[in-house]
Amino acid sequence: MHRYIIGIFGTIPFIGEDLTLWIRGDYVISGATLNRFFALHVIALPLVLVILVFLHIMALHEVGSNNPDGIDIKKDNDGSVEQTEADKKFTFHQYFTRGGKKVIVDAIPFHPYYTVKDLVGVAGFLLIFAWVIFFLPEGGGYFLEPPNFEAANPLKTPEHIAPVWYFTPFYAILRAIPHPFMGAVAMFAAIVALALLPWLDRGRVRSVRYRSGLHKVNLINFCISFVALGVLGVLPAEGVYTLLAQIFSFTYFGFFVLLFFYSKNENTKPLPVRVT
Amino acid sequence: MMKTLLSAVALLASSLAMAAGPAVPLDKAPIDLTDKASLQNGARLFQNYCLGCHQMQYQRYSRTFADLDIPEELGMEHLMFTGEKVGDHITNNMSAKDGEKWFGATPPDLTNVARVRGPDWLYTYLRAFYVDDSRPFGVNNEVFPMVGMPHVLQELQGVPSKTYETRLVDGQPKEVYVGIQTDGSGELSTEEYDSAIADLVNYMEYVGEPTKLEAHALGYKVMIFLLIFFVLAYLLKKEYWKDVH
Repeated sequence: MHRYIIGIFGTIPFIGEDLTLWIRGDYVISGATLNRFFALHVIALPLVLVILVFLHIMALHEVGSNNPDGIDIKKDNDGSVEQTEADKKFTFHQYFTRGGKKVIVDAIPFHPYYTVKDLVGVAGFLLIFAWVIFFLPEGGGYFLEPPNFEAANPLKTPEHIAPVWYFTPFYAILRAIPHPFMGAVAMFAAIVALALLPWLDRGRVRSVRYRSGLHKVNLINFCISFVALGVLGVLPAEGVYTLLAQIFSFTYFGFFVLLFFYSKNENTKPLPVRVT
Repeated sequence: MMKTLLSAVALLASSLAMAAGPAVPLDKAPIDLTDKASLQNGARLFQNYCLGCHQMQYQRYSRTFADLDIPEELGMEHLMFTGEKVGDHITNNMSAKDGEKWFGATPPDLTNVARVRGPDWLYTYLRAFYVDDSRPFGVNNEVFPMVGMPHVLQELQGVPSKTYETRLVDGQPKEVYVGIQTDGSGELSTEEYDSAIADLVNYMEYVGEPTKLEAHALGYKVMIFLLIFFVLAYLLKKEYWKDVH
């Protein structure tokens, strides 16, 4: 698998050859390659995850959570909003109160409301996980691939090299484009585009509830394209599958392009003043 | 030089054949992990016919005996041939190097083969040997063409060969391939042979994951617990959120 991932860098014009040599640390996949890939996956990537978790929590403290209406709840309460039953039960942090009264509207404490609510979600996911662990550990060859049950043999390449199932949408995009380097660019662009969504979506309305029908159609297009690409990434790249992968790659990127153009002047419904 | 070239070509051809997947549709293996008699027969067949070349180096005799309800004394008497201890792994003394020299490839370890190939593949493969004089051991396999393995179970199945029937195709008499049939010289009839192979595959499926039945039994209990927990957690959430909605 790694040979293919490193091979992607080899498609970069002019510097590709030297870059792959630098990444491998050898002329072939060797102990040096294994060492640095181990370090990358066991030290570097977990560190990145920890930093992302830290940034997420910092951002959450700064702007707070979203809500299904997508409206700001940090509004000064001039006294017109009555204290609810729930509000009277809790002592809010002074940041949220003035003279013993809560100044932001429609907010509830994380504990116990969200800890109790998340308990339901945890139970739901545990049900799925337990089902996989006890009844479906191999997942039909998708969770534990058959080569995992053979002793590793560096001289024998597996019969089929297929990416893990959660990478298949991007793999399908890579294969859909005939030019190797442009394919690699498109694959990475497909991931980067997701991170650029806050700037690609120029709309002011956050919740899908108040957005236009066009946006909903576009979202459905994105979901269908993504799932279809995921299925196509598992299938062999031949004949009609390649054509389908090209069509769905086009609609996948089409989602972002369309979004950028219509979101500026979208025909949205009026936002409520408070959380409904 | 010529020899290496030839073996390289043969290797390439076999790898290409494998890349294409099995040429024949696989038969569903009629296996049942709860059938102890079938598993015991499978263990007997494995010890007598497979262990000479293939090991189960991650499985211990004692584990097989305990899970298959085989008393240790009986097992040691009938299933262990070279003075191993009951806690030993199921191994043989053939070196990997010799195996490669003799068969062209080291016979693979069979502990996890059912999870690599799947039971249906094994069931079809072991019933798909046929006479082919161009091969070093005189047999070839439909599921795994050019395989290095001889037909070890021939004394049970008899001599299997590809049979053709003259049938009318578009009004013309034509030779049509109808499958592999034995000449009946084996100890077992075709049905008995299929059933013996099913037992053997059943045993290999068991060894691939000895705790599968236990996992299922435990799994139901865990799922029922989690379902009750899910309902209670949901009711608790409803109770707390009463104030908010």
